[in-house]
Amino acid sequence: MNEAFDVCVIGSGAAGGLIAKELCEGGAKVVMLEAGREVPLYELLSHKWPYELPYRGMRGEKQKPFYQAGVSSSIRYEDCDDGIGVDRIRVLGGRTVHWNAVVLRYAERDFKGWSLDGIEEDWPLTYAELEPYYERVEQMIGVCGEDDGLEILPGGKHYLPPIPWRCSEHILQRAVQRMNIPLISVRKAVLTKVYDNRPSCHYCGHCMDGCDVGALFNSAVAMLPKAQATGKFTLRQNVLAREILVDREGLARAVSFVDTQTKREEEVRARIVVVCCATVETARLLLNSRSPQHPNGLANSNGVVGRYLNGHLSSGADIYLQELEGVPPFNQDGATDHVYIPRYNHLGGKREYAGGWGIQVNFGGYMFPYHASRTPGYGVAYKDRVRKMQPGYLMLGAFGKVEARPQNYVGVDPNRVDEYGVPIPTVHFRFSENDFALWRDNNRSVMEICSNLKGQAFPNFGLAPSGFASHEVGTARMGKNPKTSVLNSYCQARDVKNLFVTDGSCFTTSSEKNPTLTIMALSLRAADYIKHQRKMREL
Amino acid sequence: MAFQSCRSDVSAEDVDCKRGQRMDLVRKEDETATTIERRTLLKILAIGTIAPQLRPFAAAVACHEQLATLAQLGSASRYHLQFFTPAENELVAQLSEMIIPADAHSPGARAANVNLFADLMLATGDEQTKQQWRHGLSLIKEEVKKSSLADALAKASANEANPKMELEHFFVALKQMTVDGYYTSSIGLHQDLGYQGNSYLSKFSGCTHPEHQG
Repeated sequence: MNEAFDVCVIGSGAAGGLIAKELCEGGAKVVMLEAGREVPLYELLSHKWPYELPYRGMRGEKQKPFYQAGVSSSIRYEDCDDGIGVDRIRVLGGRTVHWNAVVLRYAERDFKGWSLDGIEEDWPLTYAELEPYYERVEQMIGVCGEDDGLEILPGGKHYLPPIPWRCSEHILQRAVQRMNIPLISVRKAVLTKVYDNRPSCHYCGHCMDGCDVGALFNSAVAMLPKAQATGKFTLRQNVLAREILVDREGLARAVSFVDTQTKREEEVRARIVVVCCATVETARLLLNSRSPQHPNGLANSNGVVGRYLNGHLSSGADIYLQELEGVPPFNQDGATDHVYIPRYNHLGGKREYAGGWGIQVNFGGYMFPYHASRTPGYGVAYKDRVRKMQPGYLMLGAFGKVEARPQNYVGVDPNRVDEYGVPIPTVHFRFSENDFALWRDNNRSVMEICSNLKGQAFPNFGLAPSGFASHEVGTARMGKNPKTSVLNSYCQARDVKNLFVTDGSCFTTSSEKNPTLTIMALSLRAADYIKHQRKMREL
Repeated sequence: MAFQSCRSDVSAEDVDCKRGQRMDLVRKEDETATTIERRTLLKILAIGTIAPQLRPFAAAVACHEQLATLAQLGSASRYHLQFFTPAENELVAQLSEMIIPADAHSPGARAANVNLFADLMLATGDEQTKQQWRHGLSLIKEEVKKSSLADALAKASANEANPKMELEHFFVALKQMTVDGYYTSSIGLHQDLGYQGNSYLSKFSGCTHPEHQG
């Protein structure tokens, strides 16, 4: 590409879409490189009946348009616990195309792991510094819910109406209230009224197969058109960034990429490079960007790039409530989660582990009887039982904090390349003692909640924790200590002042809360900083 | 938190895309829970059994254009068997119908063409599962020779919560396949479960029952 741009943004997901829009609106000429393609909303399979699809919607069929077979298999898990898997989506909009859109602010304590719990490190910024950005993002994208006045889950001032609760959720509240566990309306980036020129949700429960009307926040639908409207935005789809090229001083000067359709090698020059490829791919790109000035990969003089990989562990259960057994079937789809159980394990005094979990509710969907293969027997009585239990379905899905440790990392294997000759990522991850203790307590607590509900419960945790529930973070972390971090609090690489990383890889540590809203707030703060630095001619 | 199974050593069948979880590991726990844990769980569950061990269906996703879609399975005459012999196909139809029979409420697994669904899934599945079914069906046939189909199925299902013999493991796989094929069919989803969703609503009313609240 012949023209030089002010900014090259690599990746079009929650981070990339937002920062590209912001920088374009601030007057920068931005080029975006996205390895995937746009899947237009009319191509989504979300509303298909299972029997309209070759595999009945199994084998991840509805989500297949967002993933590419070659990508999914071009990764190696080396020295990993059994249950580890990372999300290898490749599509315009990234995971926001089919996420569940639960958006939760980190609490003040989530930025202070070292100060409060004596593990990990403190973030290089506080909740107070990030709060205005949370507020701006929530207003920008439209979030339904309420401010519940909880220290563990700070709220904003401008939410769209919360979603009405289901029968099972009221029944759940009665049970958890007795246990002094809070249950609140969920906060989701789903529109419960027309907002941002996008329609309201139609309560079909297909968030995680892709929202065909754009009521679910989708970066490709909600952010990129705004960038386009400035006239300063250039989008290249189906291009895989190979490496970031540097000048003699070691500053980023261009991005080399391959057009996956034409197979042509191309290069685009930019004064600033913002990496938003998501945790695994970002680490991969930086580690593959070697030069005499950066022999261990870009911005990696301290060997931290790729390290501190972490995400969420899971627990949960399916419960079939007796109170709703045999009730005539009624439409419960809604917008998947309507309620949320915020972290509560810190209320009962000190534990022998740090961190906690939050519990999402009812995002499993109502189209299939998950209990049918877990209910014993067969024949007419069995069939009858399965049918009668179905209306009582209540699903708890807990996500727990995982420790950020340097020995867990994403590397690259120069001897194994993908179909374009780019060295593939390798994943090395083991859960810590803290993780195991937290997970065991999480399971115990989930079963305790089940025991307070009248009905049959099926636990959904195995012999060991699994990760990362698609919430990987940490591989290019920001921090106070230059020895153990890659970025400052503005997502700026210490080694390379015109390089920024604003996706989940910039997280110092992980909370039990879903990371995306914090990714977007950090991206917005980085955008403001870049705008300011450009104005001051520092960048 | 959904994710596509991206590990070639993990079957897509085992990944719960919505939970972002490895359900094969969940099922492993069910199978090998220690006695103490089992008792504790039983107490909490208050009802007899922990979920039975399930053999995961491996998923080698085939991209053949010749795959019969499930809409086509509605007219069963247009589907050509890709895995079962005609005798196996009929046996699976009978077995699945015994697991989920027609009753006053709705047709059963045979009417829902579960056997053809099974044929498709196995034909496009992995070698290990194919072998399990070939052998499992022949074990059933041997049992039938000794007594009857009903007795064979009863024997196979005797240890559903804790299968040990190959026949018992096969029952678990057979039941899972029947469940998968039946409840994703039009008969299972609409006629039996009476599922009311997958719709377009202008608003969601939520619970209006005073007895559930407060």
